[in-house]
Formats: sequence, structure tokens, C-alpha cells
Amino acid sequence: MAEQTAAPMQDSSRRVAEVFSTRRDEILNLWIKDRLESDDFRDELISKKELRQQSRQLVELLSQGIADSGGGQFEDPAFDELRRFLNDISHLRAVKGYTPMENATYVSALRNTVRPMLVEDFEGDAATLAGELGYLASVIDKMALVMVENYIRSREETIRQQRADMMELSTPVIKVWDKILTLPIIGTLDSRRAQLMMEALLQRIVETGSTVAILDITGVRTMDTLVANHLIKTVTAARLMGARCILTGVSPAIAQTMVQLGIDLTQITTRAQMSDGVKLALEMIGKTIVSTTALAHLRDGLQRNGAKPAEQAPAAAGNK
Amino acid sequence: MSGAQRIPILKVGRVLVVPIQTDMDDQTVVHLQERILSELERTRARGVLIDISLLEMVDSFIGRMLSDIASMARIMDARTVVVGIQPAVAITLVELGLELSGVSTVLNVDEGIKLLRDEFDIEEREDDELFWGELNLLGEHGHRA
Amino acid sequence: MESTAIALENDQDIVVARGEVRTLAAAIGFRSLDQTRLATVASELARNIVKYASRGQMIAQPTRSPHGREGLRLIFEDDGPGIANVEAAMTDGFSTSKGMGKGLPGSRRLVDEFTIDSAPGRGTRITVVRWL
Repeated sequence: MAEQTAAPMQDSSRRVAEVFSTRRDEILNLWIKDRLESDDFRDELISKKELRQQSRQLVELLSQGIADSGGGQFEDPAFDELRRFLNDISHLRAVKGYTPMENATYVSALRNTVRPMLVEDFEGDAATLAGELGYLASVIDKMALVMVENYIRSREETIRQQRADMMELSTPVIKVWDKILTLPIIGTLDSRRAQLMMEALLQRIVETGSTVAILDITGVRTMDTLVANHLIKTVTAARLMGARCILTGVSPAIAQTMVQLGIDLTQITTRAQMSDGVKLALEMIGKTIVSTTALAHLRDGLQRNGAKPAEQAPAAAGNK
Repeated sequence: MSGAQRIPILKVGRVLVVPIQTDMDDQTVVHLQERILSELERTRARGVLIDISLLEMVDSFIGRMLSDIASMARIMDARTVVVGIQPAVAITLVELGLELSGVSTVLNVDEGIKLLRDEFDIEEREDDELFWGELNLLGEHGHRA
Repeated sequence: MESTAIALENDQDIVVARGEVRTLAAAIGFRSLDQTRLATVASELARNIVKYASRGQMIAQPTRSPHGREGLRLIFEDDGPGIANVEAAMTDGFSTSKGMGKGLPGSRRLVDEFTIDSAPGRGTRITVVRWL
């Protein structure tokens, strides 16, 4: 029973193979002509020669696949080579800057080229014509899908790579003062980036002998439980090493989500602004910032009391 | 295999300095804890500075030893400072769930001495030395730096 | 790389086990933080065996995931008394002897995979994996 229904299908599908093998050059020329004339053709992205070469290979692999599979479906191993080829060119086209739409129409235009030929060859045989057209459509649709899917995959790969590059760039640990580090965190924090930052910060703490670290999240828009936990972990690990952390720049939105998520930040010292954080950090290492006027008054006072101001080190922040 | 490894305990002024430089087996850990406590009693030191900057791993057993020493020393009126926990060790301890509560930790020996002196009021020198030192300091600068 | 088996009977064996794990982890290419995590897990689980089962062994084997990812698998097995309530033993703060209770749940947080097979009288077998 199954064989009986399968047999005529295969038989009829071979007719497409015939069309492809006997009229290959015609198909190719018409298809390429159509592509070159369409609005989609962008000579800044691909040369005519390249397009011709690419298309020729595609038609050859397609007719090979149809013939080898005996008119089988696109999933048949006979189409493996075609699939690989589609993967390659869609990746190339993605890199060049084609849109997924352009990628898909390039392939589906082939159907429009072949359809009139089938109509011509099987004019009197409506059943065969319908079967052939249906088969052609199903194979070419799947080819177009491969083109789009792979395009997206290539793009994702590119984006992933760019994100990785950005991650490297965006974890600067800056020494703002002797024994004080800052880590300005900007952009979207995911678990991996949070972890990288944590390790970079702890490493710098050891290298610089810093006892205070300011984590500024002014530039962070959202935060989830995972990232918040990384933050808490960083603060705890830093404490174990002998450094204290100050969290600054918590936006109202983030404060709200933290509380809603039930994240306990009471163990972490926070300050509204980075500048408040710097001030606190200086206090922690026993320094303070004094205005020059206040300093002058202090000097005058000392002078009146007979002390030698010249020997007093300038009392600006950070001088022993 | 008692006392297979012997960790030095140095007395510097009123502080016991314990540099741990090798991976210790459990028995050595237990032994070290006992020795530190008996040295505290014998020398009447008021601070313990344990340097673990060369330790590549601190598990729950060693972690508990550090906490225990800190609490026991406290009862004997001495303060404990653990020096030099490495980043990888610190992260692992946090993940393990050990936060070494009750233990003061510092980055390096300098910070350790400073902490014992400034916050716990323990000088590296003996009492009488400290006294003359203070007087000297007052004489020179008019106030303590 | 070959797998290594280490007999666990006393304090010294625990030190050997964690040292061996660190060396293997470094050879596979784990960075220093992961070496520390793995050495710590080895120390915790090896000590559990020496303490509760008197003797057992650790098998360390470099491994590869179906997706081709490299990793290190550590198996800790003993014929000791076993664990009656595995779920409780995996809970933070649970302890059958004084001061323990960080060992099992803590170790689980240091690895990517953690399976425990145990029943009273049947011994215990804990398998952990960390991927590169």
C-alpha cells in the first residue's frame, strides 16, 4: 500500500529532475537575469561573476540532489551537499550585509524561474503538473528557510563575538587613590560578565593592596537575582581578603527590583552617588577632603598659636 | 604521624606571627590550633597574625580552625587577624558557604600589624618599650601622628 | 589522559587527593579559580570518606561532554554506613557530626554536576563534574 502511493510520487518527481538536467543552462540564465534585474541585486555587495558562479553551483547541487534522492524530500542525505553549500553562502551573504529577506528571495526566485517551464512541459497533464509544482515548492521553501535560519545564526555569532569583545573592554578597574579602587559598571550585566568583573576586581585588590573598592552601578539599567548574587558574592569575597566594598549609584528602579526580589543588601555599604562613595572611601583609609578656604583658616589658627605652618603637610586628601 | 609538619610560630613583640606555607593535613591543623593557644598562654601575647597568603586552598576544616582560633583567642583576651586570603580562595570560601565570621581579615602583613595596633590597640613592642616610644613620639611632634 | 585512583584511609590521603586533583585540573587547562574549586571539593569529599567510612577511594578522570567540552570527573566511593537521608544531607546546615554541614551542599555549589548515590549499609558514591 505504502509502496504503491510512494511509487508514482517518485516517478513524477523525476520529471523535475529531467527538466533540471535538460534545461539547466536555460534555468540558470533566466534565474540570474531575474536576479540581476531585480531591485534586490546590489552590485556593491556581490559581483555579477560571483553571483553567476554561486548560482551555477547551487542549480547543479539542487538537480544532483533531486536526481540522487529519486525525487525525495529535502531532508534526504542526497541533499547534504546542497545544505552545506547553502550554509556557506548564507553565512557569506550575512557577513556582506544582505538582509534575511534578500537571502530568502534569492532562493525562492528560482521557483518562479522553473515554474513556467514545468507548465510548458506538462501542459496537458494537470495531475503531474500539480505534483511537480508542489514538490518544487516544498524543496525550494526549505532551501529558503535554511538561508534565513543560517543568516540569523551567523548574525548571532557576530553579535556574540562583539559582546565578548565589549565585555573585555568594559571591566576597567581604576585605582583612584592609594588603596582605593573603583569599578564603574556600565550597560547590561549578565551572569558571565558579572563573574568576570568580580574576578578582575579581586585580582586588582591584591595587586594594588587596596583596602576599599567602590562599585558604581549608575550605568546599570536592570539587575536580576543572579547578577545581584554575584555582586553580594564579590563584596563577601573582598571582605574575606581584607577589602571593603561600597556600592554607589543604585537607581530607584534597581532599588525597587532588589527589594521586590527579596535580595538582602543590608550587609553592603551603599551611597547614593559616586562622589559620596569616594568621600566615604577616603574616610575609611583615614583621609578627608578639605576645602582650601578651610585649610587656610586652619593654617592661620595654627600660625597664631605659634606652630610653623610650613611643616604642616598640605591637608588635602591623601597626604600623610 | 603526629606533628608530621611543623608550622613555625614566631613571637614579635606582643604578637604571635604564624606563617603557613604548606598545605596542611588535618592533624597538623588541629595541632597548630593547640600550639597557638598554648603559646598565647605562655607568652601572654595579645595578638595572633596568621599569614595564609601561600595557601592555595582553604576547605571547611581549615576555615573552621581559623574561626575557632579567633574565638578561643578572644576568650584569652587576644585578637586574631588572618592575612592574605587569595582571590580564588576567597571566592571558593563564599561559594562553600564559609564566611569566617568573627575573623578579621586583611590584605597583607602591613595591614595586619596596622589593624592590631590601631584598632585592637596592640603594639608590636612590649609594654615598657611602648611606653617610652609613646613619650618619644609626643616629644617630637607634639601629638601622636 | 588516564584516570587516577587514590586510596583514602587517613589525613595524609586527603592532602594527596586534593593535590592530585589540582595537578590534573591544571593539566586539563582549568584556570586557577577552578583548580581551587576542584581541589576544595576533593578535600571535602575525601574527608567525608575518611571520617565516616574509614576507607574508600577517589577516582579522578578527565572527561569530555557529548558536545566536546572538556572537564574533570571525580568519583568518591566507599562501603561505609551510607547516608540515610540524602536530601537532608544536601541541605545547608545539616550535620551528623559537630561542626560539619558545609561539606556536601557547599561542594555541590563548586561543581557543575553532582550526583549522590547512597543508602544505609550500602556505602556512598558521589560523582562530581566540572566543565572547562
